[in-house]
Amino acid sequence: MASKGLTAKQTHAKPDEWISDVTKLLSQIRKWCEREDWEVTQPEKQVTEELLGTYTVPLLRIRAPGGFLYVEPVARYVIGAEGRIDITSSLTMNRMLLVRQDGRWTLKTDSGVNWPEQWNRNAFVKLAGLLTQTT
Amino acid sequence: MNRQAVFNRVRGAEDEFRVARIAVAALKDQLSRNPSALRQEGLSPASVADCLGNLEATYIVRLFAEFEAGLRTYWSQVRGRSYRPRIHVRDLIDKVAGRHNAPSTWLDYAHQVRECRNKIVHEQPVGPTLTLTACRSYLCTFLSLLPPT
Repeated sequence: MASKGLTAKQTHAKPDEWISDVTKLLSQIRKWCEREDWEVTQPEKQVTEELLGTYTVPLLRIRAPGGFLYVEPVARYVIGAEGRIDITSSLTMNRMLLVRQDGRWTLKTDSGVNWPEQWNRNAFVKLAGLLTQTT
Repeated sequence: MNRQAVFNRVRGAEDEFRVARIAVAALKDQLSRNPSALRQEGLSPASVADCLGNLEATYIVRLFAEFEAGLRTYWSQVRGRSYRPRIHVRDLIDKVAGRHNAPSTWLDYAHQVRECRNKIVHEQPVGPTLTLTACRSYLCTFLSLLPPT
């Protein structure tokens, strides 16, 4: 099971560092949205993780041209990565995963395929268009 | 089968359990007034009490079967038509969790339901270790890892 491979240090982790990392990332995305003139609100959600307990973390609700997008932290402790944040279109339910591997945020499709482009402003703006695109 | 269809089948099993519990409880109530009502069927009031007592465990097995079937269908689609080997459900859950970077907690929950199902099927327990509602919640949370289509 998942928790068996974790080190003693990880089992004593606190959510503060993860919340701080998430807040920094969301702040960056928020700036990108402001440059595009997209309205952003930042509600909060509660997350419960076995190793961190229940904590409150911010998320983003973005009014992109094609519809609303949610940038939503899922968990710090995930299989095969060091954190996961989902980017989801509420209109199409299309979703991309932003996962942290070796300290870097990388994109994966909802099907688990690595996205070829690096995580940056251009990739985010492009994704916002793709995710809200109806076929 | 898409994700919503799997959700619906799992939730449907829970709804069937609720209906069955109401129906069996009503029958038990009827038997308290007329203990010989099932005699023609060769059944006794004790059989109805047993049925009611085992109902939740029975439906947990059913619920897990729907979950497993959905996961197997999805995994065979991921692996392509040539994929045939029947892997253990424990490994299947791990593989899906790995592919989709599942939160460790979600993976643990799915395995808790699997272990609860195993105890019911193989160990003749006094009762399930999780409620059916908890099982449905844990399994649907895990299923939300799958892409919508």
